[in-house]
Amino acid sequence: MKKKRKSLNFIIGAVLVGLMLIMVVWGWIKTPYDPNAMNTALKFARPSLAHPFGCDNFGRDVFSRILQGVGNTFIVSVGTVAIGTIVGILLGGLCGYYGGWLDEIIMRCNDVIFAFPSIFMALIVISLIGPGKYQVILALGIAFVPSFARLVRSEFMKQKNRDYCLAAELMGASSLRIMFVHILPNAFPVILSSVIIGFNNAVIAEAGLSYLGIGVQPPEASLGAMLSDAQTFLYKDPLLCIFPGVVMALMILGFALLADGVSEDK
Amino acid sequence: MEETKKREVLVKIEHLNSYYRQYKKGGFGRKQVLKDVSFEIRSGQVFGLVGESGSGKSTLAKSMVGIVKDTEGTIEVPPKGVAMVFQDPAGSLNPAHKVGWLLQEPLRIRGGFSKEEMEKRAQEMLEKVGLSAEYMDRFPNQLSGGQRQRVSIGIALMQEAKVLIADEPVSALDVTVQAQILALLKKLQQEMDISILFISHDLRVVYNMCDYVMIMKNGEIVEQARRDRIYFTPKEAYTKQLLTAAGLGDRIGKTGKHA
Repeated sequence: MKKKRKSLNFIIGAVLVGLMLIMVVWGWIKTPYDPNAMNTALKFARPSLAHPFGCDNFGRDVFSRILQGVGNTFIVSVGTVAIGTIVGILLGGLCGYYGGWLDEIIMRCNDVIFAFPSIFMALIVISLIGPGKYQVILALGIAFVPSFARLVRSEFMKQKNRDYCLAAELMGASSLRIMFVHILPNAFPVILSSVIIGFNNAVIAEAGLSYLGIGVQPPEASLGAMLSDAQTFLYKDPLLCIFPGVVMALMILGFALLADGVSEDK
Repeated sequence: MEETKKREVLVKIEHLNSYYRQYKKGGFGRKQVLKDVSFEIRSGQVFGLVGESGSGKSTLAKSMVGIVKDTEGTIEVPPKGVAMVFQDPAGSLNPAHKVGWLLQEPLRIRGGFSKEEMEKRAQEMLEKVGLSAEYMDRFPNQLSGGQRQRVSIGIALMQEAKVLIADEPVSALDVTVQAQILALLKKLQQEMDISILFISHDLRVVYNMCDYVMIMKNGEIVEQARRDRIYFTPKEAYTKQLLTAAGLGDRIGKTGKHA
């Protein structure tokens, strides 16, 4: 069988995401320095061989902090998207397949959540359950559910009237089996590209929340928190902003290109 | 035909009315699609159902398998004994799964088969419908229309049904492939001794396939009888009209060897 050639977008995206994953794993195993170790002698140190990205206002190694920050951002994004996708598939699948009153009730609740911007929604949730890494995951996850649920619902509605679902029903397949074994794999390509886009939105949302100081709590690093800290010293040491900013931009670019490539390959 | 009469009745439809929901001003109304339809299908019989578009052929099939639920009258079919072959195999085969998986699905749903057994049965069925074992790993969109229809016949037979409902099974295929699929259906029908409700608008195809023919129009039965009776001595004007339209008009009245 002939394999279709992957598009350029897919390749560049995959390389960028691959680099990000390497940074994540590197940060988990061992960072060159303790990301939280302060050293007043190295305050605002310029990039050097010992500290490739320099040091921040507390003399902490920026490269180590970025490794840790990418890891934290990654965990938050994965957790967020996982909650959004799983709950979204369950709710959207039920609504799209059964329709009727169930659909009406769930989708109207969905609309209520959807009416708030996701950051604002997350703010509400966080003000109820308090700040922190895992709280952010839950808050953003809830905020992400409606868009996934809608997508899955429309895809299920489209698929459920096709003959193969009827055929499965006639074979005696249960509704759950039809939904998750027969329909879901067909909805998968659409879900996949929006999962990747969702990942991007999660990265940005996490950065936003950390920037507001209610995400990952100091002294732990996250890309958003680093940007927020560096802002104070924007004129004194612009590099402090540039490094985490560039890493985040590349991360988002990588996922965007990957999503593009995936939807092109369909 | 003597033999057919002795055989047991598998499907018995009596005074069947079917309805669709239809939107009317001020709410939903019922639109009657089938009107007082009665017939029987015996084991080993190929029962032809002919009618123009909108005559209720597909609704009849859907009522028999319980997809159309708003019905009156009696529908007696063997429990879990009806399988269906659809008109367009591109839509009735799940595009996300491989042929082997699709063939095994009826067994998986029924349960109680080991992996090897399901694999073996699927391969045997694939051979039976005239495809080699390499097709197990193909996706439906990698098959031609005729191959797809073979697979969907295979899936229907995997359900070990006594009655197969074939709703325009060859209408989406080109003529040479049509002949192959029809020959396959006929062969499998004889080998496995199943009954087929063969739905078609093509009178020539029906002549070649069926023992017994029923003509429908606007949800009502126009005429039903043994094949040769319908084709050579049609009683109703509508039947004559259909036959003439299909270019079979010159046979009417000629009793010949078929009488």
